Amino acid sequence: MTDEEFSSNVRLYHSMIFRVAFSYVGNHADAQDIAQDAFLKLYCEKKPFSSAEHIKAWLIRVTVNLSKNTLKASRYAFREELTDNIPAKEAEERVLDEYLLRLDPKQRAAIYLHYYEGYSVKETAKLCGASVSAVNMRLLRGRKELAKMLGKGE
Amino acid sequence: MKKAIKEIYDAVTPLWSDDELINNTLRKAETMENRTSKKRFGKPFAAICAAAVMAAAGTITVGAVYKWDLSGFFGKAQYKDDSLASSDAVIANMDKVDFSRFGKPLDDVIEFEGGRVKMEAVLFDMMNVEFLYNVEFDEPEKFDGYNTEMNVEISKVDKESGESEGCRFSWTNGADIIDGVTYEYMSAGFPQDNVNDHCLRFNLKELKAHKTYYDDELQNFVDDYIALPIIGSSDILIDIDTAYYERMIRTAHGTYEVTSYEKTLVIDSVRLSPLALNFTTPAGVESDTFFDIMHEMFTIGSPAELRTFFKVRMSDGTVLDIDNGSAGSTPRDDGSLVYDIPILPVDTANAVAVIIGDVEIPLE
Repeated sequence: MTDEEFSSNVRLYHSMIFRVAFSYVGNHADAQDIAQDAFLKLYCEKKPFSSAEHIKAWLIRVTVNLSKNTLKASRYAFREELTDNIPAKEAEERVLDEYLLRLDPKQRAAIYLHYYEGYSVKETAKLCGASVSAVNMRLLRGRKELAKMLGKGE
Repeated sequence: MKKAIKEIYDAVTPLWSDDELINNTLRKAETMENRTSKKRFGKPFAAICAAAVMAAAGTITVGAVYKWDLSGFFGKAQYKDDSLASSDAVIANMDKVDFSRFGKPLDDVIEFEGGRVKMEAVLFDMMNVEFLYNVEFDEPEKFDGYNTEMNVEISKVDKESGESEGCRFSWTNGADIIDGVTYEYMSAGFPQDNVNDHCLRFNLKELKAHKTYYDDELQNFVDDYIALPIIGSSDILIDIDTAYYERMIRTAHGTYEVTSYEKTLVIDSVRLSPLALNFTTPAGVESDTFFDIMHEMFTIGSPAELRTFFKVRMSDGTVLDIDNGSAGSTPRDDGSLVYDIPILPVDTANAVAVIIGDVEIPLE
């Protein structure tokens, strides 16, 4: 992949990949590290991609795997968000983050991929490495939790 | 609800700008000396577990074979994943082991449409029997990007009557087809003591080529299988010759608690042979604890973590990753459980400790 192609992919998918990583790890610093690692893998990948969609799905899969590894590594450590290092975060945005952080990481990822990125349940299941029924359950529970937090019915 | 979700996720923004990410990543790539190291093949843990469950006490592993140059073919067998930094040490260690003391070459062939399975060798020690073979394709270009999957039944056969006295079933998957050949090995799960004066029957029941690829129309990953029907006999009878047999077992006793993923596995003895590691858990220990830990490692951790759960420390201080990622358990009459794990061949004479999780168990 040339530097130009790489740059263009970063501009297309950086936010999405960051959100997928954030969905799993729940903190900005780790999510940014994971996003960088995912793009580094993309840059080093020698196999050709058949389309932009292929790159996108590949990046998501890599990010999900990297995120799971990070979760494993931090399983016994409390990962506190270093809020002082995130000056750009407005108070309102942080409240919205808090909604997400109250969900299970797997629910967050499923909700993001399905509702935000528009992947079908089956596609979400493949991307997350989970069964369709597990993703359905994550979506259902995640939706209920969010509805409760937002004070809305489903 | 969809709108609310969109608002919530819109508020999640990267710490770095796109330009910062581009520049930082390109700089990092530049400083990486060896960025081309790739995983040769991956084996889904679900498949490993399924094989382990199906095989009960038996286990299954797949890797690569290179004739009698064992370190050579196991070298090809190993996962070339960055996360397994010590795999080179494992391969180097194999040069120190004289495999001719517990193995013999084979020269049998099973034909299938478009190629053949060629048995190369059998290795056996007191805890495990392993078959080494390759799958060769006449038109390798047809199978570019595929790997092989096979369903094998391995039976213990009485030499005189020819009657089967029990068998193991296993599905293998994961060996990449490289230049028209896959190099594989398979653990039969029979302890050598158990097959003294018997033959083993290797019966290839089914063979497929498999690949996962991205379908542009479906915009998703799909699995493609090509059936490879077997021609003629699918049986190979192998005489286990005890003349090759040599004891190289190391043991450890005592109570050790291995804690991983908030679960505690109690171990009261360990045996290490060149081809297998086994350990026992005392009566009363939940039989699922070990597999629960393995499952957690796969779902929360990684296959690499799974494969490095068992290690061996050698007398020169080198720590070797020995596990192939599969295991089976057998209950004893006293309620204890024995777990058998086929391992990458190890020079047991120079092993000083077995490391399980974060607990180091000195060998006697």
